[in-house]
Amino acid sequence: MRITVLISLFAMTIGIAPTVSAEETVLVNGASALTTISDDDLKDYYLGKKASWPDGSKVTVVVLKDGASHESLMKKLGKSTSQFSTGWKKLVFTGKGSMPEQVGSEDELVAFVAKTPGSIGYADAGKVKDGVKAVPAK
Amino acid sequence: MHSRYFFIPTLSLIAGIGVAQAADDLQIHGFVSQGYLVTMNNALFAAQSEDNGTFEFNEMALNVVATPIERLRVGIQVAAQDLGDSFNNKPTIDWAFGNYSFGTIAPGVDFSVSAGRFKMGHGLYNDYRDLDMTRSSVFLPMAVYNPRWREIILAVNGVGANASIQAGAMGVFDINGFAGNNNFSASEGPLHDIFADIDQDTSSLSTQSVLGGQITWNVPVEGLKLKYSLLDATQFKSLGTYSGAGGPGSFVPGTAFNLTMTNYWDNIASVEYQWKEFTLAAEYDYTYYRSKINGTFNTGFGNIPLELDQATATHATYISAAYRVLPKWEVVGGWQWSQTELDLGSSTKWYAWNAAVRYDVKENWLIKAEYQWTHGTGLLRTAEQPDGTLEETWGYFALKTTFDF
Repeated sequence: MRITVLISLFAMTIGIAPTVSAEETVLVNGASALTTISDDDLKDYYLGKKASWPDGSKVTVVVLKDGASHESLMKKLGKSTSQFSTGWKKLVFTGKGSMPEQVGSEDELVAFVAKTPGSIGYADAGKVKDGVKAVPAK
Repeated sequence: MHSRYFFIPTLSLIAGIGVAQAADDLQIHGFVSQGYLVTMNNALFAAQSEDNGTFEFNEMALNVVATPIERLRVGIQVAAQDLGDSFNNKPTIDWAFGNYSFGTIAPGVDFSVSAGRFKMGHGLYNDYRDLDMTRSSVFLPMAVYNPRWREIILAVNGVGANASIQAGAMGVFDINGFAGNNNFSASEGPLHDIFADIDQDTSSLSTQSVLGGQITWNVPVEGLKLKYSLLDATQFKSLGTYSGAGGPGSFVPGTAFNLTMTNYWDNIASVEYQWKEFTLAAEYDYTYYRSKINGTFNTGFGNIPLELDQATATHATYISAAYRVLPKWEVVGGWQWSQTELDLGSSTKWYAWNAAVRYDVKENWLIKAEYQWTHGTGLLRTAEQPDGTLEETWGYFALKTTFDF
């Protein structure tokens, strides 16, 4: 214990911050009635198979261009970024779907979800703010 | 006859524009592809492809999609393409339809319906055959996705129903069916050329109905799916006159010369497996059609009405493997084989090996190169050959670039 504390103090002294792994979560607009989401439903919404929420309102998918949260989402969906992109282009150019909104940062993603009813995003849980609801995956 | 075929798309177009104006979520997307095709030993799609190469190898499309009311999506895509001597960038309505989702109608069952002109699901990739950005190769395997039959299986004007069934430990089943009709050009295009090759001066091409469907089993193994597709085109008729040289033992030039396919059955069994950056695909296609050719035949002693009845069966298969070796680079290789048997005795077969590389310059801009070595002449037309002869062994090299937004 004493050695661990000493090592931590030494690391802080030389400027090495301890690594904290971010925890990502599904985010929906604050007005959504959704309280939990299954992995299957998450895939259906993110891969364009379902375009409506259970109440019939339109699902608007928002994704990051890249980054740790985006990679975590791709892993959850079982797709690489190129497979994800190709899948959406297949839908868009056959009339079976509308392209997800793409944003450059987690702050932009959270802001988009906050202002867009029916939207769904995936980002660092620490970014949750007013107007946005974190929905645990079950 | 054709006005009927254009009625539904036109109606959808008008409805689509009307509702799109009211929608606040209207999306516009499009793409442009430009290719270069050069062939060795034989010409493919255009005489100048052999040795000189051709730039008559492009596609482009523009679409608008909107969700005017809950659960309803409407859209239209106008597309044009050039493939050697065919299509010549003539704009057409690629698809124009509405889709209404009823959502979850029973536990684990989602259901939707479509009406208008929509892409025909058939095999793994028929819906996407004109979408260069959705694959690593330049051409889809022609054994199963033969560009010469594209007009028959590209899209249907009619209605469709789609269901997705979550079957617990069994995985998910996606089922869809469609019924309708299709419209063809009698004056140009690959389908017209098929009948020109049997010396028919075609005046009309039509089919009574097009029915089909597919079932996709997303098995409970991540990335693996199995699929079966069926298509039936009933009473496909090609009407015209005989344009051959004539003489004893031949049909009489200038007289009625008609072909009817009573049923055109096309079955495809498919498997696709995606694991990380690796995609493996294989399909087997069995096509069967019975055709009747009616005309006036010169026996050498006089002219008599003659009907030839013939069954044709085609077996085709391919296997391909693609791997994204680096974030922007993907390689793909494959083998394909096709054999066509006529019950009157003759049989033709061909096989090919191909390899391609794709480079994604940007997310919406790619460049590809592909080489194919082929043994057999099943994909070729004598009429396209500069010297009028077919070589057994031939190949092509293709370059293509695509932008989309």
